Amino acid sequence: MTHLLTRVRTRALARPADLVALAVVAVVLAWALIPGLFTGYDPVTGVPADRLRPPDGAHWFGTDHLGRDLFARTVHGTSLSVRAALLAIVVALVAGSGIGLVAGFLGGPVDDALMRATDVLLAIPGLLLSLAVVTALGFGTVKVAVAVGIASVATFARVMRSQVLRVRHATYVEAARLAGSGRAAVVLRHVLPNAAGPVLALAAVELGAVILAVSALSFLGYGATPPTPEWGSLVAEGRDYLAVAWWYSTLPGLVIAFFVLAIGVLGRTLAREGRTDR
Amino acid sequence: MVTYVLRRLAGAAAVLWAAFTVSFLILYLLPSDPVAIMLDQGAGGERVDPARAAELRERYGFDQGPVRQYVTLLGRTLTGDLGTSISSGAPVTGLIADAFPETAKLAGLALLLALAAGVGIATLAYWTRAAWLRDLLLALPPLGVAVPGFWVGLVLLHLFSFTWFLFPAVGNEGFASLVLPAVTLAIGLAAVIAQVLSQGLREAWRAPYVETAFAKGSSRARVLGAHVLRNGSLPTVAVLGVLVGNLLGGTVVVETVFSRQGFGRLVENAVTTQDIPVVQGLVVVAAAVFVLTSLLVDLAHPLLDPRVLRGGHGGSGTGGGAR
Repeated sequence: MTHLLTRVRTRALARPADLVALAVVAVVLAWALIPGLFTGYDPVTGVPADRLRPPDGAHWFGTDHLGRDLFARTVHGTSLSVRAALLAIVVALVAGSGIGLVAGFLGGPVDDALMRATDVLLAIPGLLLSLAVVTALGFGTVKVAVAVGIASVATFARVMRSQVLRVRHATYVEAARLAGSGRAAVVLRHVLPNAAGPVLALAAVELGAVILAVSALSFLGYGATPPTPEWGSLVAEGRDYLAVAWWYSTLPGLVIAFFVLAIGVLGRTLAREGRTDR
Repeated sequence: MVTYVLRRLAGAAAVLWAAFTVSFLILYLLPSDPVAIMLDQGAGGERVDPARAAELRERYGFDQGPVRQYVTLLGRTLTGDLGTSISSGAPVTGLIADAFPETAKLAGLALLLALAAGVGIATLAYWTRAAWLRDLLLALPPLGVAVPGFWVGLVLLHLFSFTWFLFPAVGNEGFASLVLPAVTLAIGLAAVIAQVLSQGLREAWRAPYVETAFAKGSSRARVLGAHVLRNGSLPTVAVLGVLVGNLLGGTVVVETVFSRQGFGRLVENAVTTQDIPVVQGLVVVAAAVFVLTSLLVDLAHPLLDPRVLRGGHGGSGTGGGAR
């Protein structure tokens, strides 16, 4: 994994797109970690006299209908949106990898049963599957994240299974078995590390889609309760002021688009490096 | 051919049954109390009346064991009855039947637009000899995949409805009200089609039969049209079922943005009021649309690629890989 990162780093110097993408991701992650460093405005309380001001030097993204600084709300909303996306990826990665690992390693009827089950998850459109889970669990950022994660489990299970099938009969796995290692030890020490690369690359590629899904559910109103800012709900709030305040929905939405685009560029580079690695 | 069709039909029925089962597991067995949710909605946070809770539990069958509930629901669904809405009391089948035509128009137009744009971008990128044009065209799909659909819809609304007054902002009246929602819905789909198709075309260009065709004196346009496009489009055709399913999912956001009545709005309303029977009905119908599209694709597949009828592991439509 570490040499994978080094290769990406050396390649990135040659590709300006990767460099720009890396910068965008770094800035957004910094917003998520230390929002106070980037804006002095309070994201929750506004100045009513300053309501619906267009963007200028004082308010980069303008202000909303309560006179709150929209740049501050976007920056402070980053943490919740990014954490929700990461949680969704972790849910999908852990559950999907678990299923794929068991299915690929045990094979036979267990493999058949698990893979048929994940096929079904693919038959229900991802967003609808997430919405069904949200209906059952209730609303809130964490529940939305879990719901989005569940919708991605099948994809991870498939990729992990195909990787396990690839390394299951490798010489080093056979050797470890013959040397007397237990099943669990073989899986954890030999199969998992060698199968993980493409699965992690998939996580990077899926992260963009997951951010869009989390934002969409937040836009529909199933995420954080107001006045807590979240990327999707920020865009939704601006909907009522579309005719008079173009900046309200447009600028927070543009941030989402740039971030997802940047992640997509990096994810594809990672996946490409992973492929040439083999 | 008959065995192929029968196998596909059986597979479709199995997927549909499984989708019903999954939605049942999620909606009825997750640790939440549907009756408490229902009463919460109606009473607005007042204390729940135990007698009314017991009555509701009995009416919707929640007092029975999970297996019993499942069998009852499955039997009812097989007769075409999807139950009644908790919030409005209307039959779910009727609600969906009323909403579906509007959404079918929207999704149909979006699919046409997406196919035209996606196929156009990919084909032009592999037809042109100008490297800059190809790079430009191939840079479009990642952009289309990255922009949030709800945001695109709002930007289009702002520009075309509130600034230039070209299209109505809300409603279902006439063709004009269909244009902006369909374009919004089509962008993400067009991007995915362009991505999958251009990958297929890239691989097809490298195949030996391309060299043979050129050697026989075929023109670039003929090689592209007759050989590369036909072989390179197979992966795209295979994921069409998944794409149409996702299109239906996308209507939830688009119909909300443009305040249109339809399938997506029904989903949005049902989830907001946590109307479990309606949500389950909608999930089953969405799975049915996916299954039907995949079935049609599978049945059309041998026409494009006769090899699927021979090999035991040919068609890959149902449950295709990409999401």
